[in-house]
Amino acid sequence: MPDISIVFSGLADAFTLGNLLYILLGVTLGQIVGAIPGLSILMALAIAIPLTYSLDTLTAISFLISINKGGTIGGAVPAILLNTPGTPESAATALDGYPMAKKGQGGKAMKYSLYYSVFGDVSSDIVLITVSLPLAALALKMGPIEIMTLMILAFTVIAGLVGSSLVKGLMSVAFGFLLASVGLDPAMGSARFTFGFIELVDGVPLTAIAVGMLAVSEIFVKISEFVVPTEGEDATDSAQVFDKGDQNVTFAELWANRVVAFRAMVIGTVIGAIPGLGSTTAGFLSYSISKQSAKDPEAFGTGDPRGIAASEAANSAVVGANLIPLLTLGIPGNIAAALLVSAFIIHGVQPGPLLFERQGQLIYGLFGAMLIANVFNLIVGQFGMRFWAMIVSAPAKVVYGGALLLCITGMYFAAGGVFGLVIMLAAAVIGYIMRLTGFSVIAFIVAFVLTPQLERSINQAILITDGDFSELAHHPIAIGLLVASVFAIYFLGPWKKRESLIK
Amino acid sequence: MTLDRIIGGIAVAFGGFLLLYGIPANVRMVQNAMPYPAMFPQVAAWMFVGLGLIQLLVGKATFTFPSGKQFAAFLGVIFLVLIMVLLLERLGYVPVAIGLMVAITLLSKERRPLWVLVMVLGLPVGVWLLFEQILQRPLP
Repeated sequence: MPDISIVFSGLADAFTLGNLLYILLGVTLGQIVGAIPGLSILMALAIAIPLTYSLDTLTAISFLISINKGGTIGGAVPAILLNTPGTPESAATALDGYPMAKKGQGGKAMKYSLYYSVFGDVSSDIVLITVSLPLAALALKMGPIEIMTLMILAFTVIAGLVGSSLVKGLMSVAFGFLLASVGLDPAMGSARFTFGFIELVDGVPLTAIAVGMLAVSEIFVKISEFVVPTEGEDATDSAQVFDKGDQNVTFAELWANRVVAFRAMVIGTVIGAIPGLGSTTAGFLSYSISKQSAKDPEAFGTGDPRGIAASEAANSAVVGANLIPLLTLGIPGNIAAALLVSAFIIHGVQPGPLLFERQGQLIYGLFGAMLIANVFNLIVGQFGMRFWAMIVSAPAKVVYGGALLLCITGMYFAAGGVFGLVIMLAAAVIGYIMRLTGFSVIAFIVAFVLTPQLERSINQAILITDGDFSELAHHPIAIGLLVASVFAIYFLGPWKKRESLIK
Repeated sequence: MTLDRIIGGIAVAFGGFLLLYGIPANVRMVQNAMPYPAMFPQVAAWMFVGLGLIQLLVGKATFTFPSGKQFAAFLGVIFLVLIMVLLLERLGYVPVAIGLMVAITLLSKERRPLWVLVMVLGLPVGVWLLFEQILQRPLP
């Protein structure tokens, strides 16, 4: 039980004027960067860390976390308006956000996204504040064997859900396996499929693949439609999405999706608390589970607010929960958390089990700052949406031209110069062909994201058990996850949906 | 034969190529050890073979391709961007970005002076300012 005076002292520290201003600045910067396709939150964090040298520890860390939180809100804006996720974790939001925007409900979709995102974020922060130690202890119990079975579950759920054909969905997963194999293998550290390129030793850059397949291929299609318009379609109107009916969201509309949003928040919080899994995984996993458990799964992907709720509440919930292993165990849950570790160390603070005991006031100040950031996120989001609405009212040619330029420029930095750009262009072509031939781009990307973790955990599990899988009997969580995988295969498999085996 | 079956055949051939040449030539092959570097690539290759066979035998779907002109336009845009990317470090960001936007403006038949100005000058200079001046990231 923490000393209550330390809790209040910490919260009071969060409310200083300077701290509030930096939180506001961080949230605004995060939303802008997140909303620009091709720019990443990681890039913003990496740039911002050196700027915090002169700040006190609480203000510096609050500023950086605010950027991270703002980015999750901002990333949904282009995902909804342009089908171009500003950040990879917003990719699942585009699945229903963009169809809503095409129906003339772009403003409504963005408000859904904002409110559910803030809900996920606030709820996750409350979980972090109240039960961080017990949850971290649970995460600590998730050894390689449990992580391996969790990955198997993630694969069975996602691969079965995405795409019109199970066989093609699994082929997309195989392609994800293959491409994720590029780089150093986790078993022996030898290079695989690098073809002599030093740039490939670290693997194929995820950002280049995600932005290429999800954003650039779509931009190319749009620009080529300006050159040769599709019959019966006015390509110039495709990004003008604010012109039809009421764009407001009522509380009743939000409340109607409470189950989906709550489940998404739980998924995001659990995924966030497990080191190595991130917002993208949470968004897609939550989306897939929500779709599968819906009475009308065919409504997902056609502009259903439940899809936005599932994705946004989950990916935003990761941000707070990610700090659970970081603050209590010193384990960064993802790259953004790793950047935060470096910021902590710059300011002379070592994240780990002793942090609550030695730096309690700082930690509770940070919790206060996180809650303030959520309020600012909501306020800035409201104004930001109006701003983005103005930008999107520009001709689609200008919007897509600008998006292409930003993707190219952002990727030049994010994915290692010209080499990363070439990979992004190749990914755009592959994504276009996959879409054209009915292969699931999402199954591919999810497999690509999850494979390194799956491979690492399988390798570790084999080494720990010496290849003796009867050892699984001593891991009840792993058994539970495997049982869940069997259920997922049963409900998603060809015997359940025979008509979708081959299409 | 449907296009799906052709794709199945291609997948089987690709999986076979990986197993027989692609993986042995590009991944360290280790005997009698678990785990080993080629494990995941081999799983992927076998998946291509197995799933490709299913697709080859029972695939029945076909696809609607875009018109030849549209596909050519798509390839043209990619080619244009590829050229820009390859010239980026040689000629510098601003001239190359302006060149790309001029080409896109001409191809997309945008003729309104204000928007032409925004596309050709506003966007390249704006993005340059954002990265160079605000984010302090040096562009080529």
